Amino acid sequence: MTEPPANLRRQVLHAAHRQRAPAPPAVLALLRPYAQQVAQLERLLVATLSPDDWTTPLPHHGDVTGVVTHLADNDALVAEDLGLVRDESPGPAAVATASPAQRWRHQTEVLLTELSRRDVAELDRTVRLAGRGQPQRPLRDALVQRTLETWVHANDIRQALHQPGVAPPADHVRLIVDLTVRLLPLALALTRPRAGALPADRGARLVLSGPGGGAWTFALEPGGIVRSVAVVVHAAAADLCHLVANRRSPEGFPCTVEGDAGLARDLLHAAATLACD
Amino acid sequence: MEEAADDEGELRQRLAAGDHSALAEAYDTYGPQVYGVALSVTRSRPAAEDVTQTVFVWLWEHPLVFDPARGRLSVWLRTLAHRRAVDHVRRERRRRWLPVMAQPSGVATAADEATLRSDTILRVQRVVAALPIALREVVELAYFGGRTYREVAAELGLPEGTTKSRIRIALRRMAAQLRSEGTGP
Repeated sequence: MTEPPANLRRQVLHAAHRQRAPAPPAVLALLRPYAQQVAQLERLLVATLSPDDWTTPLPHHGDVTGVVTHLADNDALVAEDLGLVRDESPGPAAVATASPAQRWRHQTEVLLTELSRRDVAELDRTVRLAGRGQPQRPLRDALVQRTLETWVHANDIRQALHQPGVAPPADHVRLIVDLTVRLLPLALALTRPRAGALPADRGARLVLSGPGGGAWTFALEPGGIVRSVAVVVHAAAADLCHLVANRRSPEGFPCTVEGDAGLARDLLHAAATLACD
Repeated sequence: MEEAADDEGELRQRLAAGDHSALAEAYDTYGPQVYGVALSVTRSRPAAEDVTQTVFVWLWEHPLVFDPARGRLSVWLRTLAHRRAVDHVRRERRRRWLPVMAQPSGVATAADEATLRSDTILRVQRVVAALPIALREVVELAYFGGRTYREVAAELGLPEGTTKSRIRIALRRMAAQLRSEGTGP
């Protein structure tokens, strides 16, 4: 085979860039993980599932059809809040007859394609998160949540296929933990029975092992400042992802705690409320 | 195989997400195949470069047109390259070859020659365009594309005997049509 000339690569990439600008790096940093999880789930839905698999009972959302419908509904919160409607969107008749998988695929394609054209400032735009109370958060948080939820439900569907679950890649784990840490103070305030009992300048530290692991220190109250750490929780990063996805119970969560054990328990219960189910 | 298909599905979604590095990966993986197809059809390095660029810019602008459920990305890109390359050959031959074919034999003024040539070109183009696709493509590749019948057969995936007979039939029909219009031999 004749190799193309060496300078053709650069010409091709420049020509492509001129025709369609790449997503800004900060946007791409959040879109790429989502795109990767979408591709994983799409592969399961399109190439792996047999017609019978769609009705296999599952612990969450009934069956595969229910899981995909639920995921598409939650994706729609972001799509609707951003006003992402394309001219080639199916009309009412097509929507009525589209399968849950078709609806989910179309919507993810709209999200990825349209957001790739948006400016980085768009990441600060407020949209609804899925889950309890549908809190209003910046798009940057919603995109991480879409990545998390797509991964979780792909694993739900693997369960229907009797396939082992897949851990998220390390860079996805870090995004998920970053989001968890941003949301935990509010979740703790909503769930902790002794709200206000701690001074505002105390914090907690998560020390996570395995791919995507690291240490995160955060205030216990929204907008708080950390002057001292009240509790340190050591756990596997992948386990924490399962906890915030409500696929692992806070009861008996595998971790070791230094400091306030009651506070650690409250944190774990608060983390479990962040799920989108 | 399944892993490659996974990669292609992910590549498609990353392209949709505006990930320019995904296009670089696609070029590194499939660029030589695309260029190879384009070069084999056009037999011109500059033309093959143009076709390769067109194919990858198209992929970048319309990544979701490729459906991994329907086939492999490599096949899709090679098919696209072949179509674009054949388009290129057709355009080039219409531009370069037809005026030569239409040289008038009689004595005429420059203006007359130009008029006659233009008229003949249009008639030949019309006759070729009126051929059924199966005949048109062999004529375009063999005469406008300068291929041997063996090369035409290989490019179109036809048996050599079929290719030869299609070329003969096409030329007979063209000659008959041009004669009936007073243009041909």
